[in-house]
Amino acid sequence: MQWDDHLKVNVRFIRPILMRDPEMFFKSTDYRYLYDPMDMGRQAQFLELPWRGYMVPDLCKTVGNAGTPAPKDEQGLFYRVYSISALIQSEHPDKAMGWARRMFRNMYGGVNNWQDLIPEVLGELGLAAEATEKKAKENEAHYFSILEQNEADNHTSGHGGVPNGIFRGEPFWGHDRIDTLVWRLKQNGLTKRWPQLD
Amino acid sequence: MITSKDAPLEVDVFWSMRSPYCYISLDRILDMREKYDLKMNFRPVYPIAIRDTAFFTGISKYMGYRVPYQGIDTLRSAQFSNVPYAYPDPDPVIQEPDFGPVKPFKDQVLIQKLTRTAVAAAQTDKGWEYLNQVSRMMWNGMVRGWDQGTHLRDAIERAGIDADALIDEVMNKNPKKYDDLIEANQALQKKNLAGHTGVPLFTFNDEPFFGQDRIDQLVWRLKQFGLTERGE
Repeated sequence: MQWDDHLKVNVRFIRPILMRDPEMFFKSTDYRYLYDPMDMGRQAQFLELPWRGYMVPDLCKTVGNAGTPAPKDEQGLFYRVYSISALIQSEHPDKAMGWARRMFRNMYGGVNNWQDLIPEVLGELGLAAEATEKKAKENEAHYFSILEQNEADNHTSGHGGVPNGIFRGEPFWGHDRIDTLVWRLKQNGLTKRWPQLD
Repeated sequence: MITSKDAPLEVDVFWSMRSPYCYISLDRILDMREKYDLKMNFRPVYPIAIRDTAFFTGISKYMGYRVPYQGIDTLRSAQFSNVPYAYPDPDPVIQEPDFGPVKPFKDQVLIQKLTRTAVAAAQTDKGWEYLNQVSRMMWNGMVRGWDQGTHLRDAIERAGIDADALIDEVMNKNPKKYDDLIEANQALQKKNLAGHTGVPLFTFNDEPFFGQDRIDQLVWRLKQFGLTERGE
C-alpha cells in the first residue's frame, strides 16, 4: 500500500448475492447475464490483471440452466471457504487481505481445482492449515453469524453490493468507485507514505 | 456495417434526457469528439421510467438501497468530474416522489418535448450542440423551472436551431414521426451483443460499454482499433 499508516483497511467478507438473496439475484435485468461476463473480462484486461475466465469449480454450486443454488448439503466448498474467511477476519484481521488476494489469484488466475491449494494458502499466511480448517468447520454457525453481521453493516451503509468501500458511513460501491474513494480520503487528509529511506 | 478502412471509427451513444449519468458524461464526450478522429452518433431514447413504468417500483422493492444510493452517487460523481450538477426542477418525468408510480405516457409532455426535439436535432447533425445547450441548462443548477418562460426555447436557439418551429413540429405537426425515430433508436440499442438497454450506453462494433464509468474502456478499445487524434 502506498498510503500512510493512517489508512486502515478492514476486510469484511460477504456471502455472494446468489446465496444470501437468490430472489434479488434473479430479478435483476435480463441483459446482466450477458453483459456482466463481457464486462468483467474486459475490465481485467483493461487493468492488466491476469484473467483466465470464471473460476473452476464455481465457489457456489448451481443447478440447471437458470443457475439456482444447489441444496445446502452440496455446498461444501462454499461453507468451507466462508467459514475460514470469517475465522481469519475475526481472529487474524491483519491476514484477511492476504487471504483474499491469494485465494483470488488461484480462483481467477487459472488454477483448476483451486480448492486443493487452500492448505497451501493458509500455510503461506503462517496459519496451521489443518487446525484452522478444523476449527472453522466445527464452529461454522459462529463464523456465519459474523458474515451476517458484515452483511447487515454493509446494508446500513446504504448499499448492499460488493465490493463496497465504506468510509465514515459513506458507501463507495464497485471497483469503478475506488478512484472516488481515494479522492474522498484525500479530502480527509490521506497522505502517501514517506519514501523508503536508505 | 462495411465501411472503408479510412472512414473514421464510429460509436453510437444511447442517451436519456432524464439520466443524471448521461449529463455527467457530457463534457467528456464533447472532449472526445474534439480530440479524436471519431464519429459519435447521438441517439436519444426514452427514459427507463417511460419505457418500463414498473422499473423503479420493482427495483425499490427488491433492492431498497438502489434509489437512495443513486442520489449520493450522482452528486458525488458530478463533483469528482468537476461538473456543476443539480437534479432538474421540475423532473422531466412526472412520477410520484422517490421514483414511485409514473404517469401515463400521454401526460408526459415534458419528456416528450425534450426527447423529440433531441432526436430532431440529431437528424440535422446538431445533436451534440443541442445537448451542450439544453442539458447544461437543465442540469447545471443555474435554472429553476427550466420548463417555464423561454429557458428551453432560448437554449435550443443557442444550438443554432429555430426553436419555435422545432417545438411546433415535434409536438403538434408530426409527433409520431419523432416517436418513431426514438423507437428506432430503442430497437437499435437492443442489438448490441448483450442486449443492454441502460444509459448512457456506448456501442462500438456492437460491443456495449455501459455507464459514464466505462468511457475510459471505450477509448482503450477504440485505440486498439486505430483511434487517432485529430490532425495526427
